[in-house]
Amino acid sequence: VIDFKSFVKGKIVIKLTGPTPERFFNICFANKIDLYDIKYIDGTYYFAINPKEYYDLKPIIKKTGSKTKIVKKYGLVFYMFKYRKHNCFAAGILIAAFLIYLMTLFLWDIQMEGNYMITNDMIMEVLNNNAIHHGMFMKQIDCEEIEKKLRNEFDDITWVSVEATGSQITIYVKENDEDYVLKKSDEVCDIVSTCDGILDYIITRTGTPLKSVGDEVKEGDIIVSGIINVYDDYETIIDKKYVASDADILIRTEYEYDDSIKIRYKYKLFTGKVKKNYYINFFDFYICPVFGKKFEKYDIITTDHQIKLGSSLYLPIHYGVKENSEYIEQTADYTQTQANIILEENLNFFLNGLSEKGVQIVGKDVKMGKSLNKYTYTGKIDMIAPAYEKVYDIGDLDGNN
Amino acid sequence: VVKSSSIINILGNNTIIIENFKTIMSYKSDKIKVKAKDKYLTIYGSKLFIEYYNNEEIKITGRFEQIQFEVLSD
Repeated sequence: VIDFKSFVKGKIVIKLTGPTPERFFNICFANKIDLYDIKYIDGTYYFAINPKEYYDLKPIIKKTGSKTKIVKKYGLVFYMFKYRKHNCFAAGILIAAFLIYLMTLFLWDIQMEGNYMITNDMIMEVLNNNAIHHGMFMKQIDCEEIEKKLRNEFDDITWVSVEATGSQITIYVKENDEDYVLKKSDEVCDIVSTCDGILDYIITRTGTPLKSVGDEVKEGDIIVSGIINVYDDYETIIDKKYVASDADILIRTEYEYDDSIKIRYKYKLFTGKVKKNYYINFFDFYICPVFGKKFEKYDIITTDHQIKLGSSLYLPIHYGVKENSEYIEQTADYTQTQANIILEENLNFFLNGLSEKGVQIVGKDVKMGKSLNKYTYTGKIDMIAPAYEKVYDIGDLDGNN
Repeated sequence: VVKSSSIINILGNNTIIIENFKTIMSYKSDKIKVKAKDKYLTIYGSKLFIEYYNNEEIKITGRFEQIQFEVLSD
């Protein structure tokens, strides 16, 4: 291993002969000239010195009547001096620097963050369709243009930002976590029940409520109509107003819960044998020497590194290791308690999901059962839920919907 | 660095670091004599080698066989 710091600093090894070498050393010491690696071999002394301090030795050599000879020169300064006439060497340095600069002009890496529903491949496809690909000029990349294209292509993206650093672009995406995109609130609509149950709570802001608290509702029933009838004094309809109905509604309903797991399940029993395959990937050129026999069944864990210069200059060279862990497929049966734990967890997960959507759980009556080859978890969940949706294809209030 | 006396660190039988030393009296590959603050220190051994010395300390390595102190009379 070359010590880079000492290589830059350099050193000179000097052979010393003379009547009083100790005096020479002590005078150097008194003049604060640092000597090191002092050796005594067969009547001659050798020592090393920093090249900068070499000329300070001259008067001391004269004073003590010693004789010196430079044995070895080591360091960057001497190296450059030695190869000063080697034009190709200098040209090589220049070409290397130029090549590195040339590499920085291209796009080598595309990173994506924040996308869950939209896969990396989907984004890559859009990029490729818009002529954004690895190896293109960084200058040609218009971040705002990419952002616009991505927003147009995917409705679920609520926010997107493209950042170009070095030879890499990073696409930050924020997706819409709502199930549906809310339509404009001023569009005419009805509010319709999405489940069977009993209306538990209703506050109408706009529209005509057709049901009141305690009424039975069926799936698809209009709860709040978007049509407001205008009556005259004799209670005949003289006009109809179409509005976007808006209300807070809770419906008490029973949900049929049904979950099951198979009694017999497969799992991987790792044998502990691990095989490591190292690989290098340069552009599309892939080298991965594999030694020995392959395992019959194995999991692969790949650790990939991309070579980069500095913090953000990514080069198209990947290297890494693939760890193949051998396993044997085993089958086993769940016991009643194990199955109970899993099914209970599933149920809790389901109930938590409901709670996050604003559903109150009033009660639950779920029982565990066992059939031929599976454990079941069935029953009813009594809950109060905002189970309604807006229907924009509006019916008539007179019942001809 | 303690002013009044030298600090001598001996690591095993192959390294010695002397702080607050004055001068090298003599140096051969089997014997080094160093003047410290108020004493002479002589190291006998083989393949003795001065790794570095500066105005604070001296480091000597090699196979030491004997280390001898000689307190200055004055």
